[in-house]
Amino acid sequence: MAEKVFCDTCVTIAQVFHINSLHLRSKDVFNSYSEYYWSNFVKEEYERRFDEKLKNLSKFFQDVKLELENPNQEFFSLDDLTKYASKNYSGKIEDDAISSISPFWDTYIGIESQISFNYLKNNIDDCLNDLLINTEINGSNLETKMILTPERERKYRKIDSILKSKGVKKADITVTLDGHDFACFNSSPVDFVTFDDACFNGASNVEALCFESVKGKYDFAS
Amino acid sequence: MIHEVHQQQIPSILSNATQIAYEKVKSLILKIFSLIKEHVKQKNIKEEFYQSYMGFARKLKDEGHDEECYLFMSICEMYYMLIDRTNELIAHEEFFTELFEAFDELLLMKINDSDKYNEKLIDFNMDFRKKRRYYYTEVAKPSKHYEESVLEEISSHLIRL
Repeated sequence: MAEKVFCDTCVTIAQVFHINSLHLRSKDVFNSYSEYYWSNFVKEEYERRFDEKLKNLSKFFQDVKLELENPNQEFFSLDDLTKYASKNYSGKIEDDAISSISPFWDTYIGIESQISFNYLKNNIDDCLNDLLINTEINGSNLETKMILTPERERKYRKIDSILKSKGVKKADITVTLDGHDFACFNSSPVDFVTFDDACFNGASNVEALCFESVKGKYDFAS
Repeated sequence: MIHEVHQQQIPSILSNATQIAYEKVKSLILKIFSLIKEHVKQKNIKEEFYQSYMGFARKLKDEGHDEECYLFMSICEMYYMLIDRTNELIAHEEFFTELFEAFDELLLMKINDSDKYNEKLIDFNMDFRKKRRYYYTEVAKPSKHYEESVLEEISSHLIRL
């Protein structure tokens, strides 16, 4: 395995948010390499997603406290939280809320399948408290660890169109090409890690990319 | 110190019921500070505060003030977690006074000068983020849901930050 890794935005976000189904895999990424790189594009995407995800998760857990209490329902399950998120949100906030529910339940509730609202809301308070502590600490640590790559000047049109034909989204193509550019002009091997399935499937099937290896979420322990 | 809420100070965007809920939560905050200063322990005060701030937050949301609802909850969540740590709560009386007063001003701006409200909200959020960062890096303690090794790691980071 290379010692250097170029990270996609989703890897950095998963590292910072502990209530996240990919958090442990991301921790494994950061335990597997010595040097971690991102481009300006990834850094800006990370900053935008950091604010968005923190707002989404806070809103979701605050909404559960506000709206789920019901005198006709004594106990609540993980399914109740999932149904609530599916019913009340759409798009990114729905994704963020739903991907946080199992990690929340595992960390704060444990093996119980049904709990009282009082127990649920106390644990949500703990979770929100930890979420804000962790994002501050992990965010600060991450920004210290990450090394900014030089600005890419080449467009790599051929690879761009191959990735596009494989269904990789525009933003993910930019990330892949930023990493590729860095890897091509680096003296030592560089891996690329993305947790996005379409990006992983696309990038891992393009031979022209300069990465030592392209790795996805299943290459890291959860 | 946090001021009592008087009818004329409260923006009339709030319904009477919401107004009453707001007065109740502000009075309770004052009561908690004075009980702590007088070394009086009152059973269930933490739960009473929780019910009170949630009651006001629910009313704010019901009346369409979602942004203010979440902001108020976020301030109260910080206060709630400190109620058992009385010395630190007293040490942060000014911190909370500033936050609650800034929230009052935000509500007032919403009714009095709605053109300038967005500007005020941006200012509020900037200041709130700074205060929240201070609180969660220097005051808050991680919950007990972590393994001891993780707690130690978080604590050591908190000291370094």
